[in-house]
Amino acid sequence: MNHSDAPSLTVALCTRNPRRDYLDRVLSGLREQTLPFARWELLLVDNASSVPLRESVDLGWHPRARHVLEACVGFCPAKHRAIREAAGAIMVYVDDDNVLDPDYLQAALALFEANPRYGCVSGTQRPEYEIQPPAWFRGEYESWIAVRHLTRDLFSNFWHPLSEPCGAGMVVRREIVLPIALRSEAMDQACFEKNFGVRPPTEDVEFSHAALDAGFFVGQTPSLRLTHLIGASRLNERYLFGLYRNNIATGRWLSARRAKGSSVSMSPREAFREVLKLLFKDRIGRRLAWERLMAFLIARHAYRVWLRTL
Amino acid sequence: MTSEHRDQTPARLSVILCSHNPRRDYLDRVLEGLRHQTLPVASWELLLVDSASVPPLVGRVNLDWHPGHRFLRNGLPGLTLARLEGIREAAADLLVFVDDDNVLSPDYLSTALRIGSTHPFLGVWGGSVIPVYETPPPSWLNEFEHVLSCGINTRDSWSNVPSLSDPWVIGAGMVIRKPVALAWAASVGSSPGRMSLGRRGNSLMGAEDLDIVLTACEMGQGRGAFKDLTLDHLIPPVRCTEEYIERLLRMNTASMEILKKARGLPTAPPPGEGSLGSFLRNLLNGMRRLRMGRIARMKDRAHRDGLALARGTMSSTTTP
Repeated sequence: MNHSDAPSLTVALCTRNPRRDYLDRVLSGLREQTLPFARWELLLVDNASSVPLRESVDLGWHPRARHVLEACVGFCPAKHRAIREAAGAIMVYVDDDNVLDPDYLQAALALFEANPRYGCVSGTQRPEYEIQPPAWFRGEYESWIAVRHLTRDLFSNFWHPLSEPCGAGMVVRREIVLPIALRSEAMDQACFEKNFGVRPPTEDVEFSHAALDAGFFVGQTPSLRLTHLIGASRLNERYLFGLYRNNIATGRWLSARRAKGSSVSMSPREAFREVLKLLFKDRIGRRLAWERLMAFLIARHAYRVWLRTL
Repeated sequence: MTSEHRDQTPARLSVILCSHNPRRDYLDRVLEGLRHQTLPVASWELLLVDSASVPPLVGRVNLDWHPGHRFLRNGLPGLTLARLEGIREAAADLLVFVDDDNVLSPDYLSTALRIGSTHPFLGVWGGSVIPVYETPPPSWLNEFEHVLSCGINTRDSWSNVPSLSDPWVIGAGMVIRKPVALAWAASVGSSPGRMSLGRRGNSLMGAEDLDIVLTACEMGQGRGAFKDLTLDHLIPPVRCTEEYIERLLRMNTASMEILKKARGLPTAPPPGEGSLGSFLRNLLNGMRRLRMGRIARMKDRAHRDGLALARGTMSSTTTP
């Protein structure tokens, strides 16, 4: 393939043992994209599913679609593999429960072409709940599960919590993330996953930090829209609180790694405040305080394990 | 180019210098700073807004060195009113607010203009404000330099997230696009809370600059803080006393609360009464205060008084 034939976008769909009905909807969302097939390629990265997807998923409808097998289990190895395999200058990450709106890829390409300083962007994620989530969860807590309702562009050239892009549907320039994929950062992830059995969502954070470090803007825009399918198995309190704990633990761990351990310890005042919340808050407040304390212990332990592996 | 042609060149920048009973030596230094700008005077106009000074500044200040200068006069004191007057009269697409104790570095205006063209997505931006003390300041003042509107940017940062957070852009040396200024001017009058912000006479109210910044972000434009834009902030000894800093802190807290309330942002929770939780919290805070040093106690007191002041002001303006 000569250079002029190279697609502009690479859609990376990383999955491991997906729910078949969800995967079919994700693929039909991709099939209905208004951007011509010639402008984008599709990589279906099978992260060692027990029944290989190459045998069961037909990608014949897309002339630039490929199956890629990544044997090393984990979100980071799969996403990094996609970067190494990609031919497009812009990566679009689609999870196996993200149904893109038909104009998603066209809007992403237009956005990045019009704004050469945009490095890493995500959009609105509408939830489609299989069953009703717990009442307390609707609203401010939905962002845990990659549900975001945007009404305006939010961009910064430094880390700001309100402009931080989310992994679901993330659009990022390949030149920014290629160095991460080439380094064998998967080592730290493997270490974390082996010790705690959680999926650290750090790859999104790492991608957006890399964009900022390279001098690009990161942000969120309502012009990119997708539907996030959320199955019943993810809508019980056990899963949701576990997700909260993991998000906080990995966030603390990652910033400890970036800042040489500074934020991995909890100050006595912070700990005391959490204990007060454990005693006096309502049921949800008590549970959240508990998860934050647990997250702190997990992050501290993970950081120590990581230091030993250096 | 003939002088007639030069006169017809539209100004690219309007410098709005608002002043109320200025210290004469400070004002002279401010004007000296403007006079030494590397940007040719034909490219910018100078509006000196006299905010009810007694006696009036016109006739006492010589601006003849600038062909595009104008004196404006506001009968009522108040920084917000003075800036509104300046905005009404400004002819250029970019406005720069300069206070009567701000000495711009010589390349300030040219850098402001350059940032405007390289960062078209920004609505408002500013730079580092370096404190220049008349007498050596006491060592405790270090931690309050930001309260005196001073701060150094070590990198360029910008964001269009409409929140009261980094990057801070303050009134001293603020560069603002005309549409943002007009939008702010059009909306501020309808809100008594927002109109009450900003210095007025001896009152140390502030936060009118943050109101402008939020207006820019609401319009989808960003705010930016740049390291290459610098100005000197002249600080007299009277502003280095504990008494002044406490007053300033109190009014800063109060104005922030009033701004948040007027814009529907979350404000500080009202002091809880009666519950076991609030009793324990008060007890803990009381114990914490016992261990505080003099300056920490002053800070704590100013914060609480500021919140109480804001609550009093807000309830009196909302009571029919």
